[in-house]
Amino acid sequence: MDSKDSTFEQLLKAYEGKVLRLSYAMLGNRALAEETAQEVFLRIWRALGAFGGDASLSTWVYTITRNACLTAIERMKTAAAESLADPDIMRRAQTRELERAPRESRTDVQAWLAELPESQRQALTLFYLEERSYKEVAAALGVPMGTVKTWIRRGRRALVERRLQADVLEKSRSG
Amino acid sequence: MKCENWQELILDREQLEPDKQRELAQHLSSCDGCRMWAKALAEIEATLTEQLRAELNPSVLGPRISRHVARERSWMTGMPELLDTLGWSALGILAMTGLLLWSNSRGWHLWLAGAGTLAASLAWAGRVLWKDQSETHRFL
Repeated sequence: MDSKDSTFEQLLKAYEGKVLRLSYAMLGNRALAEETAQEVFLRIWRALGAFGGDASLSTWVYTITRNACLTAIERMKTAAAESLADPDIMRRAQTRELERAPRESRTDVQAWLAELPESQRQALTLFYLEERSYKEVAAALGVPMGTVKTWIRRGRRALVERRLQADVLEKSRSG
Repeated sequence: MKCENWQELILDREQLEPDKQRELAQHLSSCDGCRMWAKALAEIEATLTEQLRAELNPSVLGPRISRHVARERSWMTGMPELLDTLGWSALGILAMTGLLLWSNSRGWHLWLAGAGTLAASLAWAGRVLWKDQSETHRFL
């Protein structure tokens, strides 16, 4: 094993979880996050020789991850736009939506999380996955800590309000 | 202070100074509304943390990434040799064409020589480009 390989193995061990968690927070889908994390590490392996240490290693890894996620999001948007243009796919999606509707009215914290604006959803997901570290979330998302705190505060408030609304609805149904 | 303000403190409770935390605890002991609010937040956070962590299992990812990299590595290792082979073959064709031209100078031999030279140039250009790419790693 040469030095590039051993460096890569160390990097993989240190960042595997972080890259997967950031990908998951940005994409909101485990399978896609795994696929993207794989792509990220492939890019890292190819570019390892070019890393000059101008930025910190974690900044470099997070930048590659965010770029890969943004590419994946663009691909998803394009695929979704193409699906919308196909009347057959639209009809099938609407049928599935109607079948799913009664189950989704149940209390589901992850569904509430999915309804939040993208920035709040990403920050909150990472916050709970990264041992509630504002610093880690800010580094991963590449935004100032103050911004992260604002997103998390707003996201938390929205979740609590959603939960209290659901409680009131539940009481009015049972009472 | 209004309950809305206390709720703001609940949202930021990890970062509160000890004095503020004591004040908040005091308020929570006397206000049912804020207590319910804090309880709802705590329950949501516990559920989310549990569900999100259960959903991610990084241990299966490492070996898969290593396999992908190994595949890429073997492909990258084999490519320069392939280009070398192509380059030497093209040079061989060129040499043979030269010999044929030397022995018989008809028109189609010139076409053959041209094709041989082109193949050799392309193969060497590929080799040079490959070397350049693998040295600079400009993938980002």
